[in-house]
Amino acid sequence: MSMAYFEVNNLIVHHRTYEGVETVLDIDHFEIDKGTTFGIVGESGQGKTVLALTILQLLQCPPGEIISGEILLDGIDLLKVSQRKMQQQIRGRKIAMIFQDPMSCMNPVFTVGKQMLDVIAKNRGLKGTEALDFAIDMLGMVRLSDAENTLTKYPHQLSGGQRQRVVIALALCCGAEFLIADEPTRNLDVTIQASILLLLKELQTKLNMTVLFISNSMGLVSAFCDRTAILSGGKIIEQGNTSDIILNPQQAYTKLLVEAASLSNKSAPAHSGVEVLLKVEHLKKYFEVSKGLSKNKQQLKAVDDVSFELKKGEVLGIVGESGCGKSTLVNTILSLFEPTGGDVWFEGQNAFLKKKKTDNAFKKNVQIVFQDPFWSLNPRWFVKDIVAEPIDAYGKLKGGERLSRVNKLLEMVGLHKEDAFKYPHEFSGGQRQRIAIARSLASNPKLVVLDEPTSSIDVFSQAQILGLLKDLKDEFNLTNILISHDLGVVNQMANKIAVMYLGKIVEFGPASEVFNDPRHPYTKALFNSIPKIDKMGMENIVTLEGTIPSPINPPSGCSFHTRCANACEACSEWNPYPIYVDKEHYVSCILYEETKEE
Amino acid sequence: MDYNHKWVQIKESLKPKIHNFRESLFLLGRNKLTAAAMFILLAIILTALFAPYIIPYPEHIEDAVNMQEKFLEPSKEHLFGTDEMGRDIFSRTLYGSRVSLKTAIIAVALALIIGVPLGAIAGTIGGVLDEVIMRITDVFLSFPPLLLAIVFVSTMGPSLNNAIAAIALSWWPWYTRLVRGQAISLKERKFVQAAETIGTSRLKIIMRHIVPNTISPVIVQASMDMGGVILTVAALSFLGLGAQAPQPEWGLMINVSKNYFPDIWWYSVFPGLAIFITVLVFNLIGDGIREILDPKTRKK
Amino acid sequence: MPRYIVKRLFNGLIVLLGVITITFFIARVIPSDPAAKWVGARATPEQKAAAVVELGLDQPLHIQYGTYLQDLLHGDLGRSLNSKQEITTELANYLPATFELVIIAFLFAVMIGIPLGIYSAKKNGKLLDHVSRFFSIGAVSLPTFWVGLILQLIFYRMLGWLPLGGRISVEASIFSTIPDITGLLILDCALTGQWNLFIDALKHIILPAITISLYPIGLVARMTRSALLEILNEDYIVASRSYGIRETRVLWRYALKNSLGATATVVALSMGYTLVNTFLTETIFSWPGLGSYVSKSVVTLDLPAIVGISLVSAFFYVILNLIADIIIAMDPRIRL
Repeated sequence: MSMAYFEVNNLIVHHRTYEGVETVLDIDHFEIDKGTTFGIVGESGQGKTVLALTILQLLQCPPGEIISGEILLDGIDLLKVSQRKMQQQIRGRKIAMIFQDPMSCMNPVFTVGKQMLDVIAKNRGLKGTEALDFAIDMLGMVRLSDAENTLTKYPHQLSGGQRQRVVIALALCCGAEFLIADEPTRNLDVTIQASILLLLKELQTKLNMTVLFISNSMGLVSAFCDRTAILSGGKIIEQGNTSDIILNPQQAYTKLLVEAASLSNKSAPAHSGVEVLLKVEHLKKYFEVSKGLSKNKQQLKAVDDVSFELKKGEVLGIVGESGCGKSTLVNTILSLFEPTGGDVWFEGQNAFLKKKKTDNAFKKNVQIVFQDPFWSLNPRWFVKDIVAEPIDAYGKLKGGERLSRVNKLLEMVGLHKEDAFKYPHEFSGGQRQRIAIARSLASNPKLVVLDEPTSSIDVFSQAQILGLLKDLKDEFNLTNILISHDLGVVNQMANKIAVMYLGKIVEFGPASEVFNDPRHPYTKALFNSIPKIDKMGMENIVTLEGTIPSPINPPSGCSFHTRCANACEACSEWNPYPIYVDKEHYVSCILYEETKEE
Repeated sequence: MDYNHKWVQIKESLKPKIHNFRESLFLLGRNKLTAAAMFILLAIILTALFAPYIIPYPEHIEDAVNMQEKFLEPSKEHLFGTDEMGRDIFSRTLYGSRVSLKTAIIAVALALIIGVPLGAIAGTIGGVLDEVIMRITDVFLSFPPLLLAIVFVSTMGPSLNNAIAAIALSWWPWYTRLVRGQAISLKERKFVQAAETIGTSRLKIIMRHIVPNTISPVIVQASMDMGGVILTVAALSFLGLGAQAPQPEWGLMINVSKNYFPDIWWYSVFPGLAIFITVLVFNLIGDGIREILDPKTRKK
Repeated sequence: MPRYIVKRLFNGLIVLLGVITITFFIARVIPSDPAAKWVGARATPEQKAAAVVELGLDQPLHIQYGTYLQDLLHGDLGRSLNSKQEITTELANYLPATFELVIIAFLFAVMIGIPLGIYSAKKNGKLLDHVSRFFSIGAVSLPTFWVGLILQLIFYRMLGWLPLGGRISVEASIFSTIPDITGLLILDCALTGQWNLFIDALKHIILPAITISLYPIGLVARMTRSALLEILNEDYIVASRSYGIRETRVLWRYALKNSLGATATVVALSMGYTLVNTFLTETIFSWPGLGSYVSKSVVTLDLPAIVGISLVSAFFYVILNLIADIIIAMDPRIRL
């Protein structure tokens, strides 16, 4: 029987704390053939990173404990190798790792160049100018332009995408044939994620590397990996060829993962209401930033002339990548920020009139559920106080009445009366999000903003929370603004979609139309960057060249023209204005008429 | 359970808090050193509380003069020997724990009362108010606390109470800086932003959101400061600026004893040992508290 | 970077001004009758009135403040109520002896405290770590003046190895000329090659030096340990290891640089405490430094002298903090 290149057998890893012993990993067997890509999919806390660290013997023991098992690389059992030998021969030389968060895995007080040269010196034995040339070559391989300059920079001076490329370059400098990529695109925007994925695939093919690709998304794995294993609770519950798993998932958990990654074609239907609840007119929010100690104040145009109408009972989904201004837009509407210009009308009243009475009325009617279920609840408060905070702000109920209202709210979101006297940390992420939802309903609001409500919770709870949100919306005739980078989520809930780029809305229209037939070049690029689980492999991923420009210095004319394939000269001179596809759907692109196929 | 009943509500609110407290004690006790320190601290506290009743020579605390018995070496009758007035040093040392603990608690409490709200306000509200408070704090922080206390007491007149006040005045800026730093990072937390969206008043945000979340580092600092304050009071008394004769304060005893040193060695050694053990115990416990409160050293 | 230094210097100046103002007002505003002290207990009312004018105490407060500031700018700290001497001169006389001790404490703190902290962090959780933690915490719990007494008890009274106090033995000061180049006795003896004197001075300085060094060593060791532990848990350290970098290199080249800021801060902080502890220790060892001057002034409530000493100490402390701030600012993330 031919031995696989990489094999893990009977690996049991414990985590020992004063509370007891927890089994973090319990893996029977999986193997990887040389030159192939193998994916491990599971959610946060399921043991994926522990596996990666254990392979390199970098796990902190204590509190970790490797009870048994063998990890075979080319016949050598890595668990039996001494630390010294691991450092000299295995780490770097045979196995290299790409870490999850490029910001935290690079030493902030050393330049990129210094860190690379050290790695090159140890693993390739090069010094001086030879090493320097080698470093520049590596940066070239990860497609970082201006390599010499990059070498002199510190990690915090690079953008997220650049940092990730440097981390990949560092791994390449090691020269290992086996690469462990631990969620390499975790914190990246969708468009950048696509380019990193393509880069990794290219390198893997070119250098004939074996890659262990760790991810929490079936979508990514479907594009990148030949074979996949599903990790749940430290155990591999299913493994096989990626295509088999996706087409024919056996376990319930696997099915959920596959479903979460597929964009269903059914968007929410268009809304039939007429009454306008929220009207945003030419809203602008600029921040003054000064660079360092210089006196020059520059303007960061976070929200740059945004207008839309939201009807009662509608759900508006706002999508866009980091820096597009969706959070600032929402915060300004919620009057957490003072707008630099423009108006917001709520139920016919101007929301920014600083009168206490209208202010209160506005705040009572507009609430928000945040993304982070842990820090959005005060860890030192009882759940009952957290949920009742909106009630307390207007001082109406006391004592028993207050408590019974809290209980009712808790039951509405699927929690129990007894939970009122507990602390947030006693609940799971999904349950905490329910508490946050209960709080948002406490003042009987008309508009509830949902800021990435399911991004930080596990996939089991995601579906439940989304269902809950839909039910509550129907029951109380709520209006929602939904922000998400997960198009699947937006697709399920939103009637209308606004696509934002650099503070402007580039496309706005009914969800079904925008999804199935995006018109704006950026919208098209955005949707095409996402690995589609039904179309496996990398061929269908389209990358967007360039990086998102800085909102301090946006490009002239159309802010997207620097990266647009269709751009012409006029695009850099003229500001785009909304061109209406039909009554409710517009596109902000001056070239739109011309590229209209129909 | 009828939740409408007020007592039930109060009881239910207290249950988790008591549970947390017991859990903290348990965690603290896991480190053998900290556990030992806690026991010793308990012994010191009990001594301080019941001193007048348990010391062998209660009349020797302040005024007794017994010149035939002066400068007796340590013996069965006088465990720590006697001083220049014939007073039993053992009794006075034990009673001194009362003085030291009292000064430590009052001084730290005063410093907290001044420092914490200032820091919370400066950090949360920011702007000009923050600048002003920080400049004032910086000025105070530019003195080592002992030096500042010396200056204060020199001008206020030497006495134990003035020493306490001086220490509180020297110590509060440390808490202000600590709490301000915490408040600045807490401001960015989503639950504070949520409170703003909800419409909670600024005052309430500071008092109920910000301050309770700064408690952990403040507790760590305060427990270690208890030791520091005791050292400072002793130093002030040693200089003649704190407790005045015939108060049974440890630093003062050493101050007087240095004139007869090294012949009457027991007069210096034992009070100093008392200071050392008390401060050590506070520092060990403070360090233990820091270990369990620090999220990084807890279970990952 | 230079802009940052200027900004911090400016800050430091403001702080000093605040210190000066506070000490001025404390010294003037509370009733302590400096004029009476100046002329002594048996002066006549006319002499006292003359003293009031001489000391400028009859002027309105803001004029006194202005005069005070002006004098300060000229380096004039006024006169001691006790000795009638210029405070600046007196300070200059007493300063070198104190400086000698403080420098040694600084050297010990850095050369013993930091390695101790590093060692403790490396052996985290093991027995040696617990032992060194206990010593560090013990070191900062000791009352400095008491330690001095205990050391004297052991090494003078019981063992007879070392002298009780003073900087140099009485015979030496009678029979030899004491060199005075830098004011730092040990250094001066070494520079002039007077090795007997050198040994003598060394014997005298050992106990006070150990006494005041214990606190900074303990503090620096503790803080270095915790700073390093925090850093060693960071992802970038794990990443360095994953690239195969040697453990010693990871520790000494990578982790240490990250901890520079925290270490510099704690060294500066500990020096502030050390200065005051030195004052206390000097009284025990009859060390002719600022400490003796302080106790004399404090006992007689010689306010101008106390204020003068405080100003000098604050100045020293501000400079130290400035240096620490500069080291912290070398962190590239703070590049402005």
